[in-house]
Amino acid sequence: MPTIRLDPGRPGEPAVDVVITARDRSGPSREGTASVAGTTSDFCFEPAAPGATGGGTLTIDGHRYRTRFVRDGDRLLVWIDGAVHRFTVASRTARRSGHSDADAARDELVAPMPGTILRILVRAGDVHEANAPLIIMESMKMEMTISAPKAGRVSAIACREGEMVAIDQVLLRREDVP
Amino acid sequence: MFSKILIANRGEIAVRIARTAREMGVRVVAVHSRPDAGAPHTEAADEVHGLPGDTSQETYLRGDRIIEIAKACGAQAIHPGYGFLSENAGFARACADAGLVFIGPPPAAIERMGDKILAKRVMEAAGVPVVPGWSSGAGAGGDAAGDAPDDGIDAIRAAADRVGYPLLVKAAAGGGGKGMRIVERDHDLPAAVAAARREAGSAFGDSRVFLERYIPRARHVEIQVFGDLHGTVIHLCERECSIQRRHQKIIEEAPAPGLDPAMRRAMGEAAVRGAKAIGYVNAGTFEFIVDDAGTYFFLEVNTRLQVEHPVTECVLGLDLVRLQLEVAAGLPLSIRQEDAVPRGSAIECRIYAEDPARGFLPSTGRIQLFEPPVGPGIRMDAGVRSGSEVTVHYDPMLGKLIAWAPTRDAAIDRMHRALTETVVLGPVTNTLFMRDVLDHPEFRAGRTHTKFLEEHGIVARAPVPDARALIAAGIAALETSADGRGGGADRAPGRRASGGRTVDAPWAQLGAWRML
Repeated sequence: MPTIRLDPGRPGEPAVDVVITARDRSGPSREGTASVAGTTSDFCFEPAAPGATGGGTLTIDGHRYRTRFVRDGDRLLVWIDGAVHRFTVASRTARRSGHSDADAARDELVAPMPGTILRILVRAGDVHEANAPLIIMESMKMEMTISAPKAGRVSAIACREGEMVAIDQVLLRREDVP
Repeated sequence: MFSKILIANRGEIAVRIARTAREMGVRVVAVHSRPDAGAPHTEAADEVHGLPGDTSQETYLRGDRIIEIAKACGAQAIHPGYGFLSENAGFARACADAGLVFIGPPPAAIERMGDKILAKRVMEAAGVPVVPGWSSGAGAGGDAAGDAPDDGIDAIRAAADRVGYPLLVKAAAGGGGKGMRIVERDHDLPAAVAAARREAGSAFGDSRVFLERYIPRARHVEIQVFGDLHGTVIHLCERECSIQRRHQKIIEEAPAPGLDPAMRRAMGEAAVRGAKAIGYVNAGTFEFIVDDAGTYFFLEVNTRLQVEHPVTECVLGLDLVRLQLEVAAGLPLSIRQEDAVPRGSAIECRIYAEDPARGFLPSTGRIQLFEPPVGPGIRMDAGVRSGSEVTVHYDPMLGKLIAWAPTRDAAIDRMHRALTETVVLGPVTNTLFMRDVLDHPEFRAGRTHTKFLEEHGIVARAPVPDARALIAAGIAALETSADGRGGGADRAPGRRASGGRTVDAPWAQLGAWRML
C-alpha cells in the first residue's frame, strides 16, 4: 500500500509517513483508510469539480473539512481548516531534503528575506563579537540588521552593497574563533 | 462631477477606488508597472497605461509621467490612494499646475502635516494636546522646522535625558513606522538615532529625527475628518488601531472599544479644530494615543485616505471615496456632523504576505490559489487573485478583510469565521496569527494597546500539521502525483476519460495494491 513521506521541512520535526489504503474509487470520490503514527482513520475525499483547482471535501472519521492544495515539484501546499501546511513530498528518486548540511550552514549567514543589501559593516578577516551587526539589508522599505550569532571571524563576504538578494541566499561566511 | 479620473496607485486601494468611481459613472484610468501588467487594479479600470520599470521609484512614484498620462488621456483629476504620491505636496502642486484636480487636501496642508515636527507645533498652537518630546530647533520658530540635519549626538542625548526613557526616535518625514525606534536606555540612543536617520533618509529623502516620550500600554485611536471647499469640516468618529507589529497596524476597528462618548466628542472636536487650523479639505486622519489614564495626545495627521477607512464606512454606512470625489469636484459635504453616528461594530484584518513565525518577514512568490471569504457582513478589499505574483518591489499587503456585525462580539466571531475560510496558497500569510489575536480573551474584552502582542506573548506559530492535515496532505500528494500535474490553478483540465470517469494513475495504482 502506498506510503507518502511528508517532510515539514523544519528543524526538529521529522518526516511523517502517511499510509493510505483505497477501498472504493469507482465513483468520483475516493474512500479508504489512512494511517498516521499508528492511528488509522476512515476517510472519504470528494474532489471539487474536475478541472478546478486541487481540493475538495475531506471527511475524516465523520468530520467534514474543506481542503485545497497545490503542488510544485516535490513541494506540496495544503490548506485545511484555515491553516496552510507546507511539505516536501519525498519520492524514491528525490533526494532527501534533510538537514545534513546544517552543520556547515550554521556559519553561513543567509538573507532572511528577499531584498537589497544596504550596507556591509565588516570585511573578510574582521573579528566580531556575538550579536555584532554585520550586514544591513532592506526589503519593502523596512531595514533589517543581520547580526553575528556568536563571536568569531568573517571568512568571506558573499554579497555586495546594492545587490538584490533572494531569501536564503548566502550573504556572509564566518567561523568561530576559539 | 468628473467624467474621468486617473488612479495613481496599485493593489487593493486602486481596485477599491475604481469600484466607487465606476459606480458614480466616472471613467477610470489605471497605471501600472511592468510586473503589474494585467494585475487586478488594471482589470478594474476603463483605460490602462503602462509605466516603464519595475520599482516604485521608476513607476508609481513618477509623478511627472503620471501627470503626462492624465493630461494625454483627458482625465480631470488624480486620486493618489495611500502611500506612493498621496502625501507628496510637490505632486499635489504639480497636478494643480497641470490643470488637474488632486483628490486630497491642499498642498500646503500636506506639507505642514508631512513634517511631523512642524505638525506638532501647529497642533499645539491650535489647542490640540501633543505628546511631550523634543525636536531640534524647537522654539526657533523657523521655516520647515529649521533643523540642521545632523544635530550632534551629544545634544540629542542631553535632550533625551530631559524627555526621559523609554522614548521614541521618530523621523520628521516619517510614517508607517519607518525610521522609528524605541529606545529604552541612553546607551542605545546613538545607534537608534543613526539607524532611524538612515532608514528615514532612504525611505523619505529626509533624515531629520525627533524624540517623543514613549507611552506604554497606549491605545492608538484616530479620528477621521472630512472637509469641503466651502469651509465645512466634520469628523466621522474614531477607529482603534492598537494591534500593531513592527509599529504597523494589522487589526483596526470602529468604534473604539472602551472609548466613552464624552471622550469621543472631545477628541472629535480637537481633530476638527486642528483640521480647521490648517485649512483642511478632503479626507484626513488625526492620530492620537490614549494612555491608560484616558488622556489623549496628538501624534500626527495622515493627509490621505487611510488603509483602514473601510471600518468607518461600515459603521457609518458611508462611501468615503465617493465623498472624496464629491468634495474634490467642489460639492459641499453630503453628510452633517450630527448624522455621523456609528451603528454596530466593524473590524479589519490586514492580510499580509509575511511569515509571523519568522519575525513577520515579507514572503514573496506566486499566489497559486486565492479564495476570499464571502457572506453577510464580510468585505474583502483585495489587490491580488490566483496567479498574482508577490514581488519584493511593493508592500506585502495582499488585501484587507473587513467584518461588520451589530455587536463587537458578533463582528469578532464573523471575522474569525471569514479568516478560517480564507485560502491563500503560495506566500505565507498572517491569517492564522490574526485568529490567535482574535481568540485572546483580552482582545475579546476590548483591552487592546500597542504592545498587546508582546505583552500577551502572542507569538506566531508555524501551523503544526495534525493528523487530519497529514491525511489531507497524503491524499493531496496522490491527487497531484504521477503525471506530474499539480493541483494548481494552471492544472490542465481533461483528466477525464471519454467515458466520463476520472482516470487517475496514482489512485488506480493505489487500488491495485490493496482492496478491502
